[in-house]
Amino acid sequence: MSTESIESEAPSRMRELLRDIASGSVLRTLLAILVSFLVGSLLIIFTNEQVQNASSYFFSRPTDTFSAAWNAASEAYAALFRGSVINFGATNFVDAIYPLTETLRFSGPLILAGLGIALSFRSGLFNIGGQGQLLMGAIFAAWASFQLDLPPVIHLVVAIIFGLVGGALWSGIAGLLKAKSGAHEVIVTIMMNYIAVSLVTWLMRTPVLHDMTSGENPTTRAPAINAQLPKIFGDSFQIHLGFVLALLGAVVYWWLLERSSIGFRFRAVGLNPAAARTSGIDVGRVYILAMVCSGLFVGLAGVNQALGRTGSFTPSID
Amino acid sequence: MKLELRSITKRFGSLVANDKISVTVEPGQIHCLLGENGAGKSTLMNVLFGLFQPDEGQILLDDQPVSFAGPGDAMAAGIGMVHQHFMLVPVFTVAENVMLGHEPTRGLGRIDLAEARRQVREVSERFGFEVDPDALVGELPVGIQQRVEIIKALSRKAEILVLDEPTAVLTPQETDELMVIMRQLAASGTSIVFITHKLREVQEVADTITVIRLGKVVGETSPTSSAHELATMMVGRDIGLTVAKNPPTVGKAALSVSGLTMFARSGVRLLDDVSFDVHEGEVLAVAGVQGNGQTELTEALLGLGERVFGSAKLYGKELVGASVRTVLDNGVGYIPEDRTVDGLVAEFSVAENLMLDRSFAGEFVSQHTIKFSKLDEFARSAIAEFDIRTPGPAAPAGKLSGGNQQKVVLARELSRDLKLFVASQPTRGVDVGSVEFIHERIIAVRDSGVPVIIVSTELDEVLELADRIAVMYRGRFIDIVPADTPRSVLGQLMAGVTAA
Ligand SMILES: Nc1ncnc2c1ncn2[C@@H]1O[C@H](COP(=O)(O)OP(=O)(O)OP(=O)(O)O)[C@@H](O)[C@H]1O
Ligand SMILES: [Mg+2]
Repeated sequence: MSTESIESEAPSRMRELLRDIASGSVLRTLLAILVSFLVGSLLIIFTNEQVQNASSYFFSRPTDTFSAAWNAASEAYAALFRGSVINFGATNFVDAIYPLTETLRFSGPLILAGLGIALSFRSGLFNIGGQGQLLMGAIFAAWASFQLDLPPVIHLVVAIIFGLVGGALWSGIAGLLKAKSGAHEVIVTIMMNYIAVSLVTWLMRTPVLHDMTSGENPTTRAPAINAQLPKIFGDSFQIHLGFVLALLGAVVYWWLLERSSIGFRFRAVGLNPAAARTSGIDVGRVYILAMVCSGLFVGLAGVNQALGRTGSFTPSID
Repeated sequence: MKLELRSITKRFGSLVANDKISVTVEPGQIHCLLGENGAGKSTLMNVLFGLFQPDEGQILLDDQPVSFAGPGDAMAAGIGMVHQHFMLVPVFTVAENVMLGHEPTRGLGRIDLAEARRQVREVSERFGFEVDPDALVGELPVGIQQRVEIIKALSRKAEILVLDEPTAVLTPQETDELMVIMRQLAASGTSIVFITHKLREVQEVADTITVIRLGKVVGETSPTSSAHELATMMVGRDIGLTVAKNPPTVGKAALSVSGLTMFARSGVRLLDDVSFDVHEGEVLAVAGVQGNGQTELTEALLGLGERVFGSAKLYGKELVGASVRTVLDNGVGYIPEDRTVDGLVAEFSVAENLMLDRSFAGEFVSQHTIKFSKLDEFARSAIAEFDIRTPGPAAPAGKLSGGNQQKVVLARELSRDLKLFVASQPTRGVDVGSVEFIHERIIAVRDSGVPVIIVSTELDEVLELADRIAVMYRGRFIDIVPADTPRSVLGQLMAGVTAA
């Protein structure tokens, strides 16, 4: 009835905004990047010493200030570019593109975690438990990576599956509670974050995850060679299979939400749970499934963190 | 105040929703806008109210051109509007809702709730509304909410009042009361623009009638025109206002309901021991004043209700306790009472809405992947068959006019293999041409041997479609009577009076 439609107006605004962000558009993305560049330049300019000196006589020679500002901003961005995309000062090709491959390597977990959270938003859920899910994914994968002893490839696959399960388990609990008791997922996922951090920190002091000979600090053991994400461009680069997994994740996400009937139900529930229910969609089940799927993506981000290294890690990897 | 809309044009992309529309409303006049679904009536009123900016044309109040940047300007100029979909805050009291946006204050900007209450009481008394200023809006029946909307407009000294399909959600009695109020207002000098699809109301209350078709004014006429003339003018072709139907060929009992009872959380019985059969090939119409358990009855049958007891067997299969999906899979087609809440996902395209209850299996899905080309094909044929006015299958359903949204729901539910069809207010907000069409389709479903349950607060509709009429009163079937029962008897039954 009419009152209900009004009642749902405020949250639906919010949902609309989030969905807009999650579904995104090229223009918006470009604008966001442009604006951040501009704001960044201003910060650089105002904190730059040369600019400050030149501005003290701004009214007698304004051009000095402007050229100092230009120099400061352009130098900063050039350095940024050199450090993160292509090092044009390098003497060989490998050194020149090394920064780019590093950027891609770091983008892997960010992409995956972003997909997971976006999935929950589109299903009308505010999964803000990315931290906990990522940690659980990471330690599940880590545990499998050094506690099991399996042949190559199989070990990696098993460790990845462990990570997926870890993430999905953690988010699934929130989904289950929401579906069965109506407990709000925002509260639950936040609390699950705290639980995850404490749990992981504790486990990293026990033999489950910790190498007891290596001191008191909470760390994991290093993943077995067989379970490490292999480097994809040879040993000169750090970039590993995790980036490929992230790209695969993006494709799966697209199919799931835009093409599959499962995603169709996710979106229907996200936009109008009442109509979804009337159409025979089990809203509670969708909440659980959507949280689990969300956690799978975030868990894979954790896998990326845990297995995309040769050494140990600490609870601060999220 | 005199209102003149001069040559208003409003476009949405390539669609011209209003095409050089001119309307003049004299002071103290009740001016009806009549037109098919999607003709552009609400759009025109939204332009007047400052919600849309016209692409061309002028608004004149007492011959002075005005322009409104938003509803605030329009209200300040003396225009009040009751929207097709209410704009009230359910958790606020009546007084709080009425003052919202122009809160009376005392020193230091403190809100003067007493003053707001006084205003509500004053307006209520003047027009004989019985509205408690301290009642929570969300707990009021729709008819009273409607009045709150009107009080809201009047308390701002509206001299021009726009009522966009106010009667779509009202019971016949409430409608009669509303029309009395409209006449009172007009007599005291308020100009009223009244939009409705019910020709009887137009004839009863209008001073002048403007008919709009496809965004253009097709003519002005007076309320002395017959319903048939009005309908023909509106639709642009000769239409019959009653469905020619053959007597039913009634088969065996398909749905057997016995002892169906449903409790509210508070323990109140919403349905009280309801028992009946519906046979193949017959329409059982459920009549009654809104709020006597009709909604709960359909929800209980669909598996949407909670705390439901008793039994409802469709060809021997128990529906009570089954999930909605199981019920639908058993061949039950369902038109929910409120399309915007339960029938459609407004942001989804028309095509996506057409597959809303078919995402698990069926022709549009294989291997969990949606076959969009097939869906698009189906959507196109449904749009053509049901004459849904939309830019295309990809248009968001929420952007369609009210009646066209209703047709989307109908097209979806009637395009499945049905074993039982349950429709609640199937023609709410639908224009007369489409009412004819929808009624024909419902009779066609009946004639194909499917049992049909129609719930309607519209007595005309009940009499039009029914083979038998069940009257609901306080959660019970007070009686089931033949279709030729006189209105007066039905009216008494609806008020809870059984023939001794
Ligand atoms: N915000 C919008 N964006 C795009 N198109 C719109 C929008 N609002 C209305 N329309 C279109 O404009 C046309 C006129 O719609 P309008 O709501 O004015 O019809 P109406 O005469 O009020 O119909 P009904 O009797 O069904 O309420 C329709 O085709 C509708 O799809
Ligand atoms: Mg309208």
